[in-house]
Amino acid sequence: MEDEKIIELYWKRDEQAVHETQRAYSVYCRRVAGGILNDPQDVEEVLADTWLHAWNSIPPQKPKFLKLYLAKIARNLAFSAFRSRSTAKRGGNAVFVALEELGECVSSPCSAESHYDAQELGETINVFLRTASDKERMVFVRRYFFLDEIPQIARRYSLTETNVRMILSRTRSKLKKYLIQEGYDL
Amino acid sequence: MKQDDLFHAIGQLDEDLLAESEATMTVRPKRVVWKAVVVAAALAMMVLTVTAAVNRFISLTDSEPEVTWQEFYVEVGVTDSEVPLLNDGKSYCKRITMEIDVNPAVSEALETIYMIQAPEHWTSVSKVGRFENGQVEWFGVIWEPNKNGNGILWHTQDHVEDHVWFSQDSAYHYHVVGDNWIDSLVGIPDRVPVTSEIVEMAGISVLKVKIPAFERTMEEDSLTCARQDFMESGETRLYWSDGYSILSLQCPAWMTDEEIESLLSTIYIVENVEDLNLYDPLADYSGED
Repeated sequence: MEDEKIIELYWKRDEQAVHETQRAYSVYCRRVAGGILNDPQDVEEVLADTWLHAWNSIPPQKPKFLKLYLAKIARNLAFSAFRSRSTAKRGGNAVFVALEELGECVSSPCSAESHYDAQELGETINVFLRTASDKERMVFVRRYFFLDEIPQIARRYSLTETNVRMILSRTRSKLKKYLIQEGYDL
Repeated sequence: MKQDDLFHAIGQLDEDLLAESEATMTVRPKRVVWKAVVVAAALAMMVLTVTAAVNRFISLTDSEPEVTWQEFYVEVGVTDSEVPLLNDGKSYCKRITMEIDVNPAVSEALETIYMIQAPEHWTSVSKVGRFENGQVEWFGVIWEPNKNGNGILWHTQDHVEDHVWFSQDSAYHYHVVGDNWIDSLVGIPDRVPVTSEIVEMAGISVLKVKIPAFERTMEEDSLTCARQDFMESGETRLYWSDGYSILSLQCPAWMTDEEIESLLSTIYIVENVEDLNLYDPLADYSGED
């Protein structure tokens, strides 16, 4: 079923919407959540919460890209679960590596308390990425939103792995500079 | 701020941005050409490796050993011209050309600088520049102390195909004689006024190119370039800018593939460019004949 029709079902409050969503995007969302969480049971819980969240938020939301709307929900729920887990139960290497890389953008990766509004910070990163080149933007998103591995990104965009690493490194460096410029206390 | 905060915030990115990244970027035709060139270069490398071995053997049996250079390419990406270092039919260099990134849209050419600490015997480097008028160009510097004794060889490249080679001492520029090279003189932008004559230097015929307005031209066109320094020991640092990031290194033909590969792993980003004690060849150039 097409996304538009599924969303229509949501708006009609027809539970078939959830079934159709699961049918279309279970695999995709499982991959997104699985990039962050190791435990299959945790991933399944995140998926269940994702469908519930979608049911509760559409309407009033009317996503332009249902797949990516769900990916955002799944990613955010998975990362919340990741944060709440003990170190031993935490996720796979992918998220640790990504976090370590992003650590380059912050001066004090271990700073005690921080209260940054994710929505606001996310909007700042949105603005930053829109000023970046297409290549930088897409590579950054693939790496840090979707947690794609470097070789995957290289294949997707026909780049060399070295090139992808360099692009990421440069973009992180620029992001750090941009955040400082925007008044964030890194 | 913690990296967790950043990661969480990235989860809030606009769906439009995410959708864009779902697309597969089209392979640029230029890259296809590069790949073809790399394949050709790999074949050339095999031939030249044998040539280098023969030359090395010859040089070992000579009473006056000659340094022989060999063309060499590593890493799919941009490749350089395949002309030998000198046009005497036997002097050529081992050259590594590696694509780091090409992003003409970057506005701050010196924003990020990468550095390579090359091992001993790496005697030449290149540097790159960028004109801000929207035309991406670069020029390189090659230092080759064992062959010419003329100081610095400058290699300029206008766009992708046109090559101009000339050397520089404190006051003169020389265009090394060679059919292709002389032809490529037309590739010099009009804004670089040159006059030329053929002269002999250190037994080599060179086209002496006077570029009286060289510095001025660079200023006018706002050429920004990465700087570099040279160390007579053969230890060489190379760094280049975001403006047009191509690495081109040369080393003697006796260097092994392993030694060359190990160099590529030494790339790192220089955080504070100001802290480096850089030597800028242009700073010593008076611009007068």
